[in-house]
Amino acid sequence: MKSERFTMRINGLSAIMMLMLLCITVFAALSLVSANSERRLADKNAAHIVAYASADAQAQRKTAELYAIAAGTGDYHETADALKVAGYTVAQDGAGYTVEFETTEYDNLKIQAVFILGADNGLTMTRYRAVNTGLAATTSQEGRE
Amino acid sequence: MNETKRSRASIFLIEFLIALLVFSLSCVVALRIFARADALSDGARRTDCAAAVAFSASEQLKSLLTNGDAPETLELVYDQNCKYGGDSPAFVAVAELSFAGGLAQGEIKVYEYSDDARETPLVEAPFALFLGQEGGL
Repeated sequence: MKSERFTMRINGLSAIMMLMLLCITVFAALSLVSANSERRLADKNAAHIVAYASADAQAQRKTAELYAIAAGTGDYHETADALKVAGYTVAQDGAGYTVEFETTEYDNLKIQAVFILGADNGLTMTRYRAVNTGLAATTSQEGRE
Repeated sequence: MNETKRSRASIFLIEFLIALLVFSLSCVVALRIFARADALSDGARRTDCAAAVAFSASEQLKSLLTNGDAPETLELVYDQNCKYGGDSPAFVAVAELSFAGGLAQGEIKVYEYSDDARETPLVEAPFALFLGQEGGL
């Protein structure tokens, strides 16, 4: 009888120890997983901000190039031809032209800009937007399904 | 009778000591995991803040440039909560610019304020702003 009580006492102590160990291990694993995903999210966020800055910087450089081309030509037809040669998308629109460009894709993000080239050979920006190509791909996939 | 009691007590003591040893060893491992998680979390917080600082510095720089200020180098100090200024500086954003053809371009690098050598930026982002042929679009 006494021997049984003795065994129970040891088992009870072991069970408490095991339970505490289990709790500590589970909490440690959870905190590590949480911190790890936090870290990955922070890295992704930083990469996205750098991607936006890169796309924006490239778009600004292209804009500068576009204005430089326009400044170096005689009239707007000549500018339109020069812009076509330089790789810009140029389309006749009424009395003037629309000039479009988009940047390289950085981390599923690119910038699209549209300008109006008027008869006075002046450029007016009408659109400057960041496009999330990853999101667009997801949307079109959903649409197909 | 006394001998049996003493024997049981010593067995209990041995088991208890073994259990305590296993528990202590496991605690040491768990503590190391907690410390690693804390370091990861701290790194994530700093990266997050540095990215926010880079973005904020870029916007501030754009504002300065469009208002006619054209600094070639600019240092902006941010606190631990990623806010500009503040009593306890934690991050510094350094921008170095060059100007040509109406275009201001360079890089924005974010360092920890305590990093005096400034060799390893937390975040490095390119910067460019077209100011227009006559100072603005």
